[in-house]
Amino acid sequence: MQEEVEDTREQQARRIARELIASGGMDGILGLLEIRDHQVPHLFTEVDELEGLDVSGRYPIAAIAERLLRKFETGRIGVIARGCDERHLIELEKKKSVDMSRLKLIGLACTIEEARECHCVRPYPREVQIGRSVGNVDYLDHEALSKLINMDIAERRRFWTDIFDRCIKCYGCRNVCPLCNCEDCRLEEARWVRVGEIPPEYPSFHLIRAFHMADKCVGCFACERACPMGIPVGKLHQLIKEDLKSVYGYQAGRDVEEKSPLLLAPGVETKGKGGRG
Amino acid sequence: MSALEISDGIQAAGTESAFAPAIAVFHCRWCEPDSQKVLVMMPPDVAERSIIRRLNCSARMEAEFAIKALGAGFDGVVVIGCEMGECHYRVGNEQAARRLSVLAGILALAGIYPQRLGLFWESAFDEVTTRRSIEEYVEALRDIGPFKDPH
Repeated sequence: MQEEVEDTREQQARRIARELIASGGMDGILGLLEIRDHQVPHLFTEVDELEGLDVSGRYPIAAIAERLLRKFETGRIGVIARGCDERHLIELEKKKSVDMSRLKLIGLACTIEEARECHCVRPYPREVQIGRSVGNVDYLDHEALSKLINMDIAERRRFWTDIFDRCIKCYGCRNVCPLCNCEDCRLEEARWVRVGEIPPEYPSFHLIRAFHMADKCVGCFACERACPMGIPVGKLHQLIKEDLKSVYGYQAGRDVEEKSPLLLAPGVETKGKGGRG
Repeated sequence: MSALEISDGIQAAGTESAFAPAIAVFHCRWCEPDSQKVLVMMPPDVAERSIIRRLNCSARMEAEFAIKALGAGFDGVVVIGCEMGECHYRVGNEQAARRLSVLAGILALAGIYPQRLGLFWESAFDEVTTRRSIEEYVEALRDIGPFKDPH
């Protein structure tokens, strides 16, 4: 006998969004709107609009949520959030850039195909309301990542220098990232990266960004998708993330109380003398 | 004897083809205020191609300094800070050690020998230990070869 057919993720999302808007519980629902085969971020405030709600697109929506909270001083927003969107928001909350009490996350689980495309290791949010969690994925299960791990150091050098040579310094990787958002960016300072030079000098541009992202990256791969030259920058970040996880047990985006090991406050966790007087 | 004469002596002794790495050295002022004293701990052929910069604390050392030094043609970067527990600012060296060890991991993942980043957490006043550390580091770099145009 055939079981009852489960709602699609779109249907689930529309139903939840409709309830939240109709009940007046939320002032708007932030999600993706499909327009002519493109998915763009949109704040849904009317039930009628929800026909266009899309959950198949990938978009780092946390930056939009941050901007909306800043623009509107009051009001609560529901956010249709994948695992990576939730982790972005947790990292933004650590920086006190978003007030999570004004956001309600509507958790969207990624399909295994989506997780594979993104090389994601945690393709689901803490609380799933749309779709079904496929569970954790070992990063070594992603072929491209294990290939990079298994290269010896000379092979890696050839691989990355060849590939960084493609860079046209469009700053797409930086611009798309909700967490790479310093007001003064070192990658624009001539002291660190020569201005007007393409490809950017090796290794400054890419490794400075990699270092800055080391304790922030939540592994959403938006940078890699944004890159018009196909530089697998997300994979580099993912492997650096795994380093931090194995050395310090630290995972960005997991918990707002979890502090980066690179921001150790003076006097905390030290075995030293505990002050000089 | 000048540094040049010493290096000539070494070359005459049969290490003519030994690669002399250029090194950017950053040292904490509290464990060694005098940059010249650090310089003379280095093999002469290396010292003449290297630069030394004094920092107020090893915590002043930013990853960018090391990354830029490699891009600017240095083959290695050395950071000398106080022994753990001895930092003038209590934990500056520990913070530096954490950041720079993450940087070493990034270098390795990007295909740059992490050994190019030499991290020495020992007072440079202890000349014997520091001299030995630097010598071992330099020997490793001679084997690894230049950073630009690797084999």
